[in-house]
Amino acid sequence: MSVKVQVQTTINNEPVEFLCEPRQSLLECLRDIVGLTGTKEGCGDGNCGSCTVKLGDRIVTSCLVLGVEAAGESITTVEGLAHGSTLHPLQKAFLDHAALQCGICTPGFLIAADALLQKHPHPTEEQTRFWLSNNLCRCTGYDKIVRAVQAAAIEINGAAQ
Amino acid sequence: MSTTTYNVIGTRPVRHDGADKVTGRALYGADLQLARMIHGAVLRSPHAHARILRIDTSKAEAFPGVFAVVTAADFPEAPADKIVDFGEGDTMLSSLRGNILASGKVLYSGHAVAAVAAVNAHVAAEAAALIEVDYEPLPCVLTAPEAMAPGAPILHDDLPNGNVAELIRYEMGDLDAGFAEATVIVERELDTATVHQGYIEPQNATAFWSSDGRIHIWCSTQGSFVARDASAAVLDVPVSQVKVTPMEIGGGFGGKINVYLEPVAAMLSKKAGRPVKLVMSRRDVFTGTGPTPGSRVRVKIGVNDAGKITAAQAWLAYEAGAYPGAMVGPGAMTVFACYDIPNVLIEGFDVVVNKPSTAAYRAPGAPNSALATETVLDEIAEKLGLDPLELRLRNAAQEGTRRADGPRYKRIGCIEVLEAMKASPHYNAPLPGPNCGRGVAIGFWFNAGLPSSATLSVNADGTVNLIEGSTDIGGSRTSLSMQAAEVLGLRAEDIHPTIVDTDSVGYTGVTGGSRTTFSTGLAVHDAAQIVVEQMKARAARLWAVDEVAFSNGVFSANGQSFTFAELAAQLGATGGPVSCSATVNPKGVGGSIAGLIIDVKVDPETGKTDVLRVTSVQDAGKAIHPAYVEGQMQGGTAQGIGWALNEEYFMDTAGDMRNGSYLDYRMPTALDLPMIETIIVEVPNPGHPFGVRGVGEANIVPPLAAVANALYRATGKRLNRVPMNPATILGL
Amino acid sequence: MATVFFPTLVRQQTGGLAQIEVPGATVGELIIAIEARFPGISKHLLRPNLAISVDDEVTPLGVLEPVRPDSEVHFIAAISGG
Ligand code: FES
Ligand code: FES
Repeated sequence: MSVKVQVQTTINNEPVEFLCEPRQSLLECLRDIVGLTGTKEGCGDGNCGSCTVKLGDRIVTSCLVLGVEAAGESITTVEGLAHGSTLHPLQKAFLDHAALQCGICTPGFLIAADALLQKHPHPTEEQTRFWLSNNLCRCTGYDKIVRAVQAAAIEINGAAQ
Repeated sequence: MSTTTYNVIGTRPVRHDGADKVTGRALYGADLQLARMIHGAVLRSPHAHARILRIDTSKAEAFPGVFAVVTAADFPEAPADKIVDFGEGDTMLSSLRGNILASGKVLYSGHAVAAVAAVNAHVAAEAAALIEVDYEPLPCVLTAPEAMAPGAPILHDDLPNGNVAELIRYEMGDLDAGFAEATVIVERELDTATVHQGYIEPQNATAFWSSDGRIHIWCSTQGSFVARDASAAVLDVPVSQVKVTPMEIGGGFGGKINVYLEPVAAMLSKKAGRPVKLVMSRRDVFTGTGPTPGSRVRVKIGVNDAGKITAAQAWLAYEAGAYPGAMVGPGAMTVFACYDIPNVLIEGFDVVVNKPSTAAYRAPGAPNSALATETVLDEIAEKLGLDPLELRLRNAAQEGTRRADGPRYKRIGCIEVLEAMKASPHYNAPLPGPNCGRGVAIGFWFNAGLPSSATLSVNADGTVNLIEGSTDIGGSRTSLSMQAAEVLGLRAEDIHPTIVDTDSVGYTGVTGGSRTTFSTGLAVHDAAQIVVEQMKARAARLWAVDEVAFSNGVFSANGQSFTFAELAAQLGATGGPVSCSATVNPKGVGGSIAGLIIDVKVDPETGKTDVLRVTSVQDAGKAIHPAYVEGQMQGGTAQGIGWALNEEYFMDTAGDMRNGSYLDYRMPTALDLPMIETIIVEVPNPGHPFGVRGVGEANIVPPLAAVANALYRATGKRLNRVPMNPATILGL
Repeated sequence: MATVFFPTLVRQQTGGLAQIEVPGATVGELIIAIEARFPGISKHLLRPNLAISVDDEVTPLGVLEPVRPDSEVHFIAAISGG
């Protein structure tokens, strides 16, 4: 077993310190060390998007980032989306539009969609589909996910001009 | 069509587990953390077919951080002919055990051979790589036609007909006479590739074998009781010694009924004395779990001048994978199931090949066979100059139609689905331009009954706790709660559903076969009716009357009344709490018909297909929660489109899967699909109090053929192979 | 007398006979009557991968399912689903 590294980082606006092996992915660190299991693993090789988190100001598939790379960074996971007991408008829209079935893909979609709405306050269907195309969902056929994201855009940013 | 009015059924409440699932709090199998838990890894065969000469685990056992290593030798012998009855279809114990860890021979690349438990998953994987296995490679055979040919390598010495594990044959009427009456006869042969259900959550299992002999398993399964029974059979312990706690499950579609990891984790735990967690990698999922069969299907249909089918013949060969059980039975039973045909011959072959042992996938077996029937009918409609839906309407099965396998239909919605397709805005809209084509197809699935149990306990605040055992893959907590609420005159939110372990609720079959809303729904309905009766008795006691009426949540007699909540508050003083259970094993299953209309555009240069517009139509019987019914239709449609256009196990000649990742096994993304329009048809099932049929499966049956028919209209080519990817379309 | 339909592949045991009318109050009684006529046939009918359909519905009761004089009994492939 290799020597562990101490990592200081910020997760969901709280300072967090953890010890990890250099080979451990950020996904593993979040789930198995920090105990934030809301971020899911669907493939481990960057192709399903279930493990999507916000790292600094970009979204990453956390299975392809090493835990040690998170040092000094700020991370947002699905656990950090809601304000206290008030759901984020995207979370609420996913529920109102039945945009999840099994729900395993949902954390990744929520993080990706949140980043989308920060970049494009009123995304078109095409922009939404393009942005979310690194996130696989096998249950829904995406229809209700796209609708939920567009409804949340209006909720957050008002109707498009 | 449905006319009854309901208060709760048909509305769209927020699902009960919703907040947990959008905040990351819901615990899926891989999320479980237990004190002293260690982690496992599975060593898999690199050969598609080989004799195992020697397994040496000593280096792995000596590796620092390793707690236990297991191989097939650690498991009890499986008696040659022992059959395990899971109440869902039966399995040979030897196949089940042989698939979990190979002994004697490996039968596919990816076949599990040994497993290691260690301090963490990295160490376990390193140790697994140190296990030495000497193989004597054997020739492999990868497709059903090749496996049926004389001289093919033989997988199992004990099958009577080489690699053919089972023959199916259905006959009705006089086939030759039927074809003699036909004026148009079309015969086609189509192949489909092996595809995977593709659930995003990999299989996982955690087990703890306690020193008192009790085994506790936490896993993502479609059926906790089936997982319990199968694990107990493999471990050769009584079922009462195993408790399965179903974790939240990240998709299944039929692929999470079989056990793979559960008994292995249990055996590792027994040796290590600690809880052991096993989680598959994505490649393990592709190569080590059951995909759905590849197939060759030949269909010949004859039609007379009036557009009536006079005869139909089908020949089906399905790849079972390494062990028998290719779902060719349902393939054969559904191949002509949408139609009223007097003269029929159907022959099916369940063929073992050196690929992973296949598993169910949404209406298992039916898409493969419907592909052939529905494309042949499309061709016939064109020859007759008939609208393809009109040809189907002239032959549509209805109540009383006899299927080739014998039984006659009760009320089914074939005509209603076809009429809805014909009347849809989509079907009546023009195509957008050149290189575009529109295809239609329909399909049938039986749906299932099977046992289910439920307990309802009334709370003093007028809400009701629902205890049930059906794992919730797509909103079933809510579709069940809504049925309780409807009977009790409450709101969906007044019911608090909890899914519990196998020690804590009566036997409940899988969340599969489109059965949960039907069968567990029936158990919930029945339990709710008992609640009503007991509550009436309490009101009668309070009012000192004999008869109490109950409607819309209000108990009344002689001008006095109680709401449900008012009476619930008085239960303590009238005899104590009310808690009622019901277990059902119902008949009255109602089959579902689904249809698809799809528009595609094909780039003639590259052969790339764009899906322009899709409408999915399905007979739900009664849609309890329409949003989740639509979700099932949209999901099955998306999977069917992926199956039709892209997905396939790409095997090299040595039987190794060359595309065992999501990068290369390309499932539809949000960018590959348009919105999926839905039309829910409601022809109530007389066998269910609310008319439920079940909607999880039939929707995946039409897409293969509908896409093929659309591609024909777009390109003029009748393709004979799925996936209809650019190479197939360009004839490369 | 209820009518029992033989699966195509079982008709080797019946000399090609496709269906038969036999007396009995349950599926089990029908099978006993058929067994008397075609010794050895019951093991081909009562197999784990065959389900029993009485009056067009698969019965969870199997051989215990009651039948009426006008009942139809079929043996079909057992199916659960995905
Ligand atoms: S788990 Fe990271 S992309 Fe799939
Ligand atoms: S809801 Fe199941 S994968 Fe998206």
